[in-house]
Amino acid sequence: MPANNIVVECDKVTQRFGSRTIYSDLSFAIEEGQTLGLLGKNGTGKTTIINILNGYLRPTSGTCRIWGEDSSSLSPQTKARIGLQLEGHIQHSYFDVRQIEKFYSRFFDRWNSDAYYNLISRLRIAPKQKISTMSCGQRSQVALGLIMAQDPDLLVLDDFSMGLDPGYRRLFVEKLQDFAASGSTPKTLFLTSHIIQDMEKIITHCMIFDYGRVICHMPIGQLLDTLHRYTFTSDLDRMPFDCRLINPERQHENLWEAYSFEPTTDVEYYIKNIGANLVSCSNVSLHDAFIGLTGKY
Amino acid sequence: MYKSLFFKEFTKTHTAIIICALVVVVLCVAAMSSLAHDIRLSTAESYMAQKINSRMRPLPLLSIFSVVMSLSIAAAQFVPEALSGRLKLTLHLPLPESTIVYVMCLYGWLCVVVLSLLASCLYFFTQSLYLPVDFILPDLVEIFRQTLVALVVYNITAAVCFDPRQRGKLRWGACGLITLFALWLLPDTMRGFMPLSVLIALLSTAIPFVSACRFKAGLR
Repeated sequence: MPANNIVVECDKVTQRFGSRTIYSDLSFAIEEGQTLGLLGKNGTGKTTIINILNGYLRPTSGTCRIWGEDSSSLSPQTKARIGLQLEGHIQHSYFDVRQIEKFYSRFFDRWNSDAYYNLISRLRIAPKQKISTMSCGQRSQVALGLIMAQDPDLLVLDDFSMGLDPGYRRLFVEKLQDFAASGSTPKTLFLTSHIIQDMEKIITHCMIFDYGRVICHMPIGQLLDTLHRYTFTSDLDRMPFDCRLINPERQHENLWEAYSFEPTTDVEYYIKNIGANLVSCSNVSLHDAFIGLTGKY
Repeated sequence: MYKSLFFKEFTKTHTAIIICALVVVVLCVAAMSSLAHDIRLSTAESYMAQKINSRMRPLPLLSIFSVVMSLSIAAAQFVPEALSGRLKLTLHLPLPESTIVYVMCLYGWLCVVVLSLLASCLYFFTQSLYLPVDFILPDLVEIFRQTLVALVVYNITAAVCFDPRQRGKLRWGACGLITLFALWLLPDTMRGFMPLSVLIALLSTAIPFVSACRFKAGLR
């Protein structure tokens, strides 16, 4: 892969908090034009990696680079190309709608005020309304408007759907889809969210974290094409460990469910070999894939 | 860009600044009326002799005000930044982080200095209506020294807000209390050590930057 196509690169990043290891030797790269969705349960390190990428947390070891620069010391020119939205749509809430646009417009050469006010006008918010008096959904749209106006090359969103009702979520997703497809330069997005149905509409690549490890990192199409859910009956109390079957779990009585990336014929052969009877083999949605790969609590 | 940063700080602090300015005016007017009352009861010469002999502090409320003023301005500026990680948004602006912290602190320093200047001018004006200038000048030196204390308090409050750890905040707070005890509660101790007070105030300007570096490192 040519190095100039890589926007974000994490190389053997290890992060520990005291005696707790969040991840060890984590390595991944995001190419230009990709929309990478980071999925994981609570506490698996999604916000931690975003803090490392933006230079607010120094990893225990390893390096993170954005456009070749160390993420802990990004130049102002690189920071101008990154749009950041923090968890909870945190904003400078002492500003009002007009003031916050005026404030940010001074920092970015490509600032497009029309993009901001076009979105704000849909919310029927007075220009002098303070952001601190807005609902979470309204704040999210202000944040989205600021991002659209900034027109960054890399967009980092931490739990973008948090606290949003279905209407705001849909608006947010549609705007992100438009953003990803817009502009003369390819846009790169790095998102986290717990609403996997929304992520499925936007992302091109998917990375699933579990405690201390990355379970998979691949294009979303490849994930959904190769991962299947198998239900089968078996009288065994415990499934023998085999990497072909991921998280086998008894549903009730002798009915089991498991997931696998292996070819269907291989899995069917294996299930037969352990004395089980295959009931069904089905495709999965991203939501099912996440539950299947990380397991239920 | 720097004007925008100043505007941001002004948006947060304009209420605190207005209140502090009004309090300065009220305190100086109160001092003037108190002085007029004392002089009516005993003559001006008797008043000055009593003040020199008892080594009365000029306007005790003004010294309390300088510390409260710097605390309130620093709190108005930096508590919103500390809450919910807003400082991450501020440091993400396309400027060097040291410049961002410097401009934020510069705004606060200027506010403290300007308000202290206002207090000095008003105090001088109101006192000079009754007392000779030579008699008032030591009070102005004392107000200058209190301004230095206010700057130290401002810097330490900024450091408390920036520090990501509770333990770090407590450490800075303890430093602040010790500094206050040495420079403010026992003013006679430091009265002859103005250069040392200036040095402490200058050194304290580095404290917010140290704390901001700790925030960037994400120490927990």
